Amino acid sequence: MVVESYSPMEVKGVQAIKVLHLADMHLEWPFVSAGGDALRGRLRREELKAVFAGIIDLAAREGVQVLLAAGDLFEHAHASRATVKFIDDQFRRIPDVAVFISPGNHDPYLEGSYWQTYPWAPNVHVFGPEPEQVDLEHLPISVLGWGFGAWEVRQWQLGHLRMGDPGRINLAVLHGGEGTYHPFTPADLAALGADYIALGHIHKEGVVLEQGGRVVARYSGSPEALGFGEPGVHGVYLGTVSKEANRFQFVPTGLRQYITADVDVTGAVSPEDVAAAALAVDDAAARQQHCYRLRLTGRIDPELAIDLPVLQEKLAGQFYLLRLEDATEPDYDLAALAREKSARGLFVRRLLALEESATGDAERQRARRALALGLGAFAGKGGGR
Amino acid sequence: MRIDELYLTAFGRFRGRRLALGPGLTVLYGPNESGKTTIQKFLLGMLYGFKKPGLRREYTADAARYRPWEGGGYRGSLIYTLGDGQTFRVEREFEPGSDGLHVYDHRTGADLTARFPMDRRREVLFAEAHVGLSEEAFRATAWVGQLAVGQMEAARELVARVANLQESGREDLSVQAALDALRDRAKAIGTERAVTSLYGRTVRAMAETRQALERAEGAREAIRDWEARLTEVRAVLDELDGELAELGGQWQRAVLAEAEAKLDRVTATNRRVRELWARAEELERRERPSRGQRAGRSSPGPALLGSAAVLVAAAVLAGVVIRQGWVATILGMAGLASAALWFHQRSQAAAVAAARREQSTMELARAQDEAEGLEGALQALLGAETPESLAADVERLRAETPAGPPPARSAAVLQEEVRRLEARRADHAARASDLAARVETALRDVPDTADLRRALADLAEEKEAYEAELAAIDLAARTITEVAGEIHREFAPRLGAALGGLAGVLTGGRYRSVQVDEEAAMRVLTEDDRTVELTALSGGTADQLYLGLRLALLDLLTEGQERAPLLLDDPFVQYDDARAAAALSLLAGIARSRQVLVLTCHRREADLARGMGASVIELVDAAAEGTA
Repeated sequence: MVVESYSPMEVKGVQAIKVLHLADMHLEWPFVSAGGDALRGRLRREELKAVFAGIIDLAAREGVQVLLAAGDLFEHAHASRATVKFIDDQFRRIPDVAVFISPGNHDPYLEGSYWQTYPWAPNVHVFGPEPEQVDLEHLPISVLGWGFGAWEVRQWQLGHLRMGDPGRINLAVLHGGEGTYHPFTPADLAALGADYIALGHIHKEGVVLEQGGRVVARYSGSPEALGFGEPGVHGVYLGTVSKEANRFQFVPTGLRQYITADVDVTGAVSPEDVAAAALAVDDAAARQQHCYRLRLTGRIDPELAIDLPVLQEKLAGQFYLLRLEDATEPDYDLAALAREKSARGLFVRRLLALEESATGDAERQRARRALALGLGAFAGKGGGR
Repeated sequence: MRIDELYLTAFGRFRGRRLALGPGLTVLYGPNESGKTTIQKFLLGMLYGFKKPGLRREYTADAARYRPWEGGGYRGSLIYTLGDGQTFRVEREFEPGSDGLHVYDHRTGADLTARFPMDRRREVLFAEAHVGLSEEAFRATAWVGQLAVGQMEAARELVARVANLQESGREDLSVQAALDALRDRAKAIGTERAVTSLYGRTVRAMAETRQALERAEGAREAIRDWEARLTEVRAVLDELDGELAELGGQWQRAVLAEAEAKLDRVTATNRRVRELWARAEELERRERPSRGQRAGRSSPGPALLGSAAVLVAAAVLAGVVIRQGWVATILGMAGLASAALWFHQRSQAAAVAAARREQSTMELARAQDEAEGLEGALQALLGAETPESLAADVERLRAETPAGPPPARSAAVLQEEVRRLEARRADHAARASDLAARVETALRDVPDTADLRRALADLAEEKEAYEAELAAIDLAARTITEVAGEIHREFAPRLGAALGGLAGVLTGGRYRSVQVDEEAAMRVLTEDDRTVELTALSGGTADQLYLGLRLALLDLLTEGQERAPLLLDDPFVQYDDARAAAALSLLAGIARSRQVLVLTCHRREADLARGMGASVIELVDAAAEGTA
């Protein structure tokens, strides 16, 4: 991880402080539905730790003064004391960086949680479910934080608070923002009067509050993508906060990307054709680096049954992680079949109508699948694929 | 459609064999092995080819079976005339792979092949257009095999098949086959109760994984709890260590202070004893020289006194504890003797000296007394120690003892308190090591919850996919059943009407009509309007009705289209003469509007047919013909 273009701003007036904003690390994430086998899942969990260590390296290298960790640092359900020790050991590597953590809905500040029972490094401050403001003694910095004390929090918890000391840099670190996860609006955040608010919960980075050209609140997103729902490049935010301007830069930290692509296999006449089409999705280096979910689409010869497990096995060595989905449709001339004066024709008309009138995706898909199955059955195809 | 001529160029046993057929009823008579089946297959092959139904170009077993016995081009031709009078000639090559056909206008010789559609199997579908029936429909209706006894029981299925065929004309669209295929598919996935099925296994694996996950989560919870308690116990241990260090220091200081005090007392006492003995010695010395002067003046007193003093001094120097009274006795005895002598020599001076001596003696005794008392006390104080060892101890304690405020309590009290603290510490240390061991053991045994969570999700996904597939299969099967029912409902009354007319003829007027309900169940209506279930009919009647059904189905299927020829292969083998005659006369009637071809190995049928004015072709023995 190399930051080439990062250069801290010279800011007049109150000094600018150097901040690293990190959120949603989710150490020990189980990588549910993220493709691959159990071993890949474990490997990915190890990779998460490596990414976290890399972020600590970044903080050390860049001389960060304050590290804001906006929740969901680890999975309460799956983290062991060893995990927590690993995290703490990382923070102990940067004793001069003031670390502020606001626990999220995946690592709430529960009775008996490691937040409460682990002897954290002296440079680490963990916020609990009572909002709290910490004023640093050696720097003109105040940090306001609040952490989840339960798995769900249905109300905005900092409505009564305002950070207004003009002589200090006022930072806040919070988790949530939607539904039953500590909902808040940009106006709620604006009312805090903070110079910068580090948010966590949404795994895609994005600005939430901008005031006079200054980004005041944002989600940094997950530093490492955690599944196919999190495409693109992931990372942390690194920059300076001052009374006048916040200069942040997105620093990519993600090791692997989750890439979803449709692979049109129309015209494929053999399993080899389908495999070749899947391989053509990216070059070999990319395939070995990233995680792919390939949806096979298009119309294929009804006689060419795609055997997903076999295909998956065939391609396994060619991808770091591959999840195959079959959305192909047998290449029937449905319009012609529907015109047919036969039980089959009537069947096709019925199911096309059902698909047309379907109210949901599941219903539509079921009609479409029933159509393919019925046509296959009329052609004498039983048994499993 | 009327078939005019079959020409078997080379087909099975036949070579260059021509068969001319007329309109109406024709009976092809020949004994077994005369090639009747070959001729049927030839006709079917000419019309529909030898490819399997479906999408692929695959051949039926017949394609290989009828290769010419004597080699040569595997082909033949067929001439037929349609209802509108147009005559066609079809030439077909049968050899799999190079098979194909041409359709010509028989009058002009124009090649009309391109006018007909070709399917995926590259089969030119001329017959579907000209016969008016697909191969499957043709086989299901126009081609009647041996009419076996009890066939009527299968009638319902036949009607169901034909009901669909009436529109699609394709057997591969058989509703029943489709439903069977779907049922097989659903069976392959299975149910929850079928524990070895895909679905059953998934459901069970899910339940097991969920249980394992719950156990593991419980174990993790317990571990976290133990770890938290361990942290607490360790914090208490740290506190106790601090307290112990503090209290221990106090104790050490108290021990030191007490040792110092003792040493001070010992030192002071020692000094006092030494002073006392020094005084005693001086007192003695002072007395000894004055006595010596007098001894020089030949006085025995000093010698006596001296001897007493020496005795005492010796006793003292020897360290013997001499009782005060005893010393006084010796001294007293010595003093008495001297006094008597002095008194005799110088009475006045003697009196003064005696007083002085007495004073000195008393002082000496007192000093000695005190010294001895102190020595006893010192001894008690020191016990097994010596002043030197005591001093060394103090020196050592001074070096060892941490600095701090002077202790408020005695060493003994402090020591007791240290002991109590140490006991508490040991208790906590034991609890800590117990908790640590428990955590360690539990961590070794607890499965990876993240792994389990993931596995559970994978299984749930699998289960969901199976359920979606089963739902789709169910929807497909339900729809097919509905659609088939609908077709039957439309078809049944028409079939009933078509059958009704035939029933009377076939049963000699005993039954008026046949009713076909929506489920294709049939009942007959007697002359006197009684409804009779098929099962109640005699076997013979049911068989007659089956033939009627076939004919009715053919009529229905070809309604308003070309009248396909009816081909029967030894249909009446199991009929008695009367029934055979009735059936044949029915066929003769049908033959007025449709070409009927009966193949038989029974002379009875040939004779009956001749009697009805039908043409009879006698096939000579094939073996004989082959060599002809």
